[in-house]
Amino acid sequence: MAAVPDDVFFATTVEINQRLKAREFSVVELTRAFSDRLERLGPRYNALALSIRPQALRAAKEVDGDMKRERFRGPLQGIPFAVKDLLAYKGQPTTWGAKPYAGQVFDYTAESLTRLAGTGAVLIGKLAMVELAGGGGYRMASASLTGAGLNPWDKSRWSGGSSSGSGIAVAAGLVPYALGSETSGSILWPSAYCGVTGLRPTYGLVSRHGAMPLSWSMDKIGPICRSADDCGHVLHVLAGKDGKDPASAGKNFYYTPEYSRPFKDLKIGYAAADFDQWVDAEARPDFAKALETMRGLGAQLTPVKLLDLPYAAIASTIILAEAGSVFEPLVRSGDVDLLADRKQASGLRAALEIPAKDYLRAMRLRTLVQQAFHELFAAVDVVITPTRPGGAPKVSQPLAAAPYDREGPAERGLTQHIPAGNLAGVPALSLPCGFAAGLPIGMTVMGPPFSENTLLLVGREFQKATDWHRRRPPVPAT
Amino acid sequence: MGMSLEMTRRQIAIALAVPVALTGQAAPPAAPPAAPPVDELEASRAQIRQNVERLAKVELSLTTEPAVHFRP
Repeated sequence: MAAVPDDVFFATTVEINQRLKAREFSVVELTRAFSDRLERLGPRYNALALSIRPQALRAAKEVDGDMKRERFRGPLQGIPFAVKDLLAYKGQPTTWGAKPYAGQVFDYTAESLTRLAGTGAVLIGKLAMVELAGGGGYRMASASLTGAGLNPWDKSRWSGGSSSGSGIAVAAGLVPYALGSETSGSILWPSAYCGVTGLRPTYGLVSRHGAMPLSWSMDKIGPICRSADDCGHVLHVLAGKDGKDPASAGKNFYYTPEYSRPFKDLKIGYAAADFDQWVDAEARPDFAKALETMRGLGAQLTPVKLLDLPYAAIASTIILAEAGSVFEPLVRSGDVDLLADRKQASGLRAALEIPAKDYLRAMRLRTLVQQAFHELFAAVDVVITPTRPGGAPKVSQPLAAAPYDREGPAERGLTQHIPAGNLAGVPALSLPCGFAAGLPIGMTVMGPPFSENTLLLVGREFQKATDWHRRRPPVPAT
Repeated sequence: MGMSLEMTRRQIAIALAVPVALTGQAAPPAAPPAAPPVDELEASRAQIRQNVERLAKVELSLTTEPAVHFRP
């Protein structure tokens, strides 16, 4: 049996696929090596929900057969991956990270997993998450059936959530890529804190069939990868019309880096206050360098402003009202008290008391948010802003609800990009862009609906000029 | 007006006082700071009220429709 070299665990999907084609190792060997790593290291970071090694090895054997017969199906063929435990996989537990659902088993598989299987990708496990994707609100990083997600760069720090296991698994080289979900920050946060690249697609571009519902009007499924290029390849497979998802936009996505427009033609909006005033002091040097890198690549940087609206309050009202409706049976049964974080239980209880008029007002204000973004992207192609103001917080400390709610400069810039962008349903890409006190930091590129190819162009150019996405945390060798 | 809950505050307090067993894999981090359960619920309600007050401060035209689409 050929040994799988250690550098493979931190290679991109395209690189691994080329080595499979060159028969350096087989898909079965690769799957076994990644499964070993996921099973051995995953629990050390509270990243693993479930290993599905037997099924993965059976699938890998079939893919080996296809590749021997030169039936090639794209760069994801033969590549192991794992998925946030919020997506259904037929016949296996899908816990939603929450004790009340620990025994839950579906008799169908989520559409996104079916699509990836169709291209020869090999699912090897399900990954930990914040319980119920944090829908009721949570105070502690430990708000999960599997405990707090521990950051591979420093285990005393949080991984970010709610796609905690997905961020950890990619950063620690337990899988080449993973799927996460975002309602308001759950792909971007862990991507930034763990030093990996995460893509939140446009609302409706990727089917949510088989995913835990939290907020119907805001939930999205997306990839967390080693590079922007990998995100493009995964999204190419995931995206597309799905009659089983009522919110499906009915659009496909073709990842076409070869047809990208010249980078220098792009107008990139930014707010100087985001980079030099709002971020943590120790994060400023690398955020400043990231901005300089963009300038050096020839991008036309243009100062922009986002309409001043209470974005976090609007998003919170909508998410709680919708989550309250989804989880009303859980509250009524009393099983909500089995959740690990008491704030989740009280948040879901209180959510049932939100009057229709308040939910509707929030949804009407959301129309203003959409208009604000329409105007913003009439002036620039994309905007860039720090994903979070600094590195990951300590696991043992209560989490700040909204770091940007603190007292700060009068100019709020794009600091509200997470609730605002999610309310508008626009796509965003978080790129590793440096370190603050030894912890990764990330920069977000956000664009108008269905502008994923433009975001990926910015990501690719930035990652050609930097090596932050190639840095490895100090994880033990297997 | 808010909906009424089926549980009384006393019942909620008793229910929330039941210890929660976690199936954590690594050493579990520090438990959340102890807080009276009813205070937790009141804190969540207060947060929602605060959010709603912030929404009320934004002027809305009568013609602004919610960002939802009904598709027959």
